[in-house]
Amino acid sequence: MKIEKVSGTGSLPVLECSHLVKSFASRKAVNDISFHIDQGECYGMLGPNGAGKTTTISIACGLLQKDSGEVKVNGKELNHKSILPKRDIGYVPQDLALYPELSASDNLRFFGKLYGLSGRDLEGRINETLETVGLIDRRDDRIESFSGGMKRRANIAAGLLHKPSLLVLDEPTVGVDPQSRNAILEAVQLLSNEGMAVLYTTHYMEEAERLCDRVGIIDKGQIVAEGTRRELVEQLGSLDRIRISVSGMHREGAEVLRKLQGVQEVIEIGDEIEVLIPQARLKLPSVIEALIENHLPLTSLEVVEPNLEAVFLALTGRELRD
Amino acid sequence: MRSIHALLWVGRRRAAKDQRLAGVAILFPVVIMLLVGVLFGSNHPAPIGLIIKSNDQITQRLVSVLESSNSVSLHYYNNLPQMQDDILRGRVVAGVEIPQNFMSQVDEGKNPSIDLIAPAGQAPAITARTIVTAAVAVVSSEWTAALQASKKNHISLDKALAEAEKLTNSAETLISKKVSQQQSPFSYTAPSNLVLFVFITLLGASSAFVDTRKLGVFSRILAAPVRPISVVIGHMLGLFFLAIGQCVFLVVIGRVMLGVNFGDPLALGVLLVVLSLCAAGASTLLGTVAKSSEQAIAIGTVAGIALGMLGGCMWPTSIVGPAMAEFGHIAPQAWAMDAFVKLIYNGAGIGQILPDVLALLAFSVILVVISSTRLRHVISNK
Ligand SMILES: Nc1ncnc2c1ncn2[C@@H]1O[C@H](COP(=O)(O)OP(=O)(O)OP(=O)(O)O)[C@@H](O)[C@H]1O
Ligand SMILES: [Mg+2]
Repeated sequence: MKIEKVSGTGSLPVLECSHLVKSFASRKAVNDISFHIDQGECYGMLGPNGAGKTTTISIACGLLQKDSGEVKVNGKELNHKSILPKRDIGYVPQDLALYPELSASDNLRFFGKLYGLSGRDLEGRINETLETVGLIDRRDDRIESFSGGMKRRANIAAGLLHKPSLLVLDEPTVGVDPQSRNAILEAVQLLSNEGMAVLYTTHYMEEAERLCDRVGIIDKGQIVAEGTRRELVEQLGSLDRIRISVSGMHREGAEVLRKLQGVQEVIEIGDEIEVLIPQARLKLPSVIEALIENHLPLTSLEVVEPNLEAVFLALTGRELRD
Repeated sequence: MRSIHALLWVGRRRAAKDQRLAGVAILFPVVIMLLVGVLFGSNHPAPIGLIIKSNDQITQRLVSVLESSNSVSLHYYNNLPQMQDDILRGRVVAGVEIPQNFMSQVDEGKNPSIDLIAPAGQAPAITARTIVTAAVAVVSSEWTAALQASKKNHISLDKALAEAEKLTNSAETLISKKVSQQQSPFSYTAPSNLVLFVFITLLGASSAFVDTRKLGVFSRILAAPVRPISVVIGHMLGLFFLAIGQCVFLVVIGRVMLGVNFGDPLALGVLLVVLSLCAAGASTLLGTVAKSSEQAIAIGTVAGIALGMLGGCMWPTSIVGPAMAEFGHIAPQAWAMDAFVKLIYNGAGIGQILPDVLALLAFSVILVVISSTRLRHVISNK
């Protein structure tokens, strides 16, 4: 389960994008996008191919000139004239932007030097970041000898080196084996829990669900919905499900739960019972209480919330992945 | 400043790992210098064939002048087919036939002609041709001068001739002494391969830039607090240092191992700097226009060799005729070679090579301005 964090209310957002617009020729890749990310918050940008995720990120990191709008990093405006706020951002591009013929540590050394790190400080940070992404034992191997997943992890390490207050990751798990994918997600979760703000784009809704405190759903250059996963799901009016096992006594269990207040439907699936109920988490105590009162042996209990895939489908009429 | 430093650091690191670069930059030029120098620059006389169809005084004098030359050795033939055969087989590099009417041609004050048989375009044959032409000129002018002198001063023709010959001989020994003392057999091949390979190496190095660009490394660099102009400067300086490093290395090899005297060190230094600047600019330009690293290598190699040919890196422009030599100066290599020839053969100083240096500088300024503008554009738009 995700550790709840207190968002830095009152303090400045780490990233604040207002009314970003960017066109390529006549196509509007980004069409009036606004969002902010607070300290320690993990913000997910979820959208299909070509939605405008990379374009938005490139503007937010000062890599792409915007047609209009404003980007502020820790309250300071970022544009082509003032580039210093870039120091607070750790950018992990979608492409593998490393020198393949150099070792992981040499690549990190280079990017560290760009941010003004040097000497023992730099060497220390190189080891720490490689530790974070689980590559410390491959420190001195050439990037080109790495597997796809390891390359991706090295790519992330390069964005972490200078201890940014905002980490920007552009689809970091595309084409990655499950093991590396897990390592990446765990690393991001760890950093986020340590207080780093994260902007995470993906078109995998499981990742957004697992990692992100707040999600912006982006389609055709616009944010079509935004909020915590709960808020998004509630906008849809979907219901949570509680999945319960009571060993061998599911029939009796179902009887008991049907009588409970707020329950809309109870379904028996094999040995399990699924209860459809709004605000499932708040209702958990009464569910457990009812089962105990009736001497039903509760062996497992799980809350299943409706997913973002459903939200996206409802909002755009399309699947996230074609 | 910090970012330029980082870019130079990573450039050095990458160059150190690149074995192909070491081959193209160092190994190839040294091997070719040695080969060309040993094969064609040697001080061994070129063997030439000789058929003598007359036995007069002037012919005898011509043969003795040729025999006294250090640059050719004579092989006598009785008939033309046999000599032609040996030319084809490479036993002699060229053949000369002195016609029966040679003496009468000179006597009549004509410009005497003799037949020279040589395969086209080969360096030793060109040496032979030069020597034979010079020898004919010497002999006929001796004869003419002696004739005039004997008439004017009322001395015998034989005596006048002897005087003329004495003059020629002392002049020739002087010249051949000076030439053979100062010039290493590698004096042309060392600078010409330096110029050739600095361009080939640097143009080839643009492929690494294309790779980097495609990988998106430049966007990532610009995600750091770095200005595009710093990236441009860092990139170009890296290439410049690569070129100057290669130049210095090859000059040291030429000087220490091959005994080439590159002349005035100040003038040489200035020449190497503008040459390197020019090559760095050309490399940057190619890196920004090439669509793939393969394309960069292909264009770089072909352009490097073609311009090298035009510029006199494969053979002296003096053998291609004045019009072609003039045309060759569309290549910066030609100006660099002119300057090297002046430094090595004429003992020139900075003043004498200034026109060549300025021409190279003009090439550099144009290349650097165009390519840095393009580079800025390319890196900011990935
Ligand atoms: N440099 C460019 N020139 C022209 N069009 C571009 C350029 N970059 C992006 N686009 C267009 O802008 C739109 C948004 O692209 P973007 O790369 O931001 O999408 P994305 O959400 O990151 O997609 P993906 O999930 O495939 O990475 C697309 O229609 C794309 O074709
Ligand atoms: Mg993208």
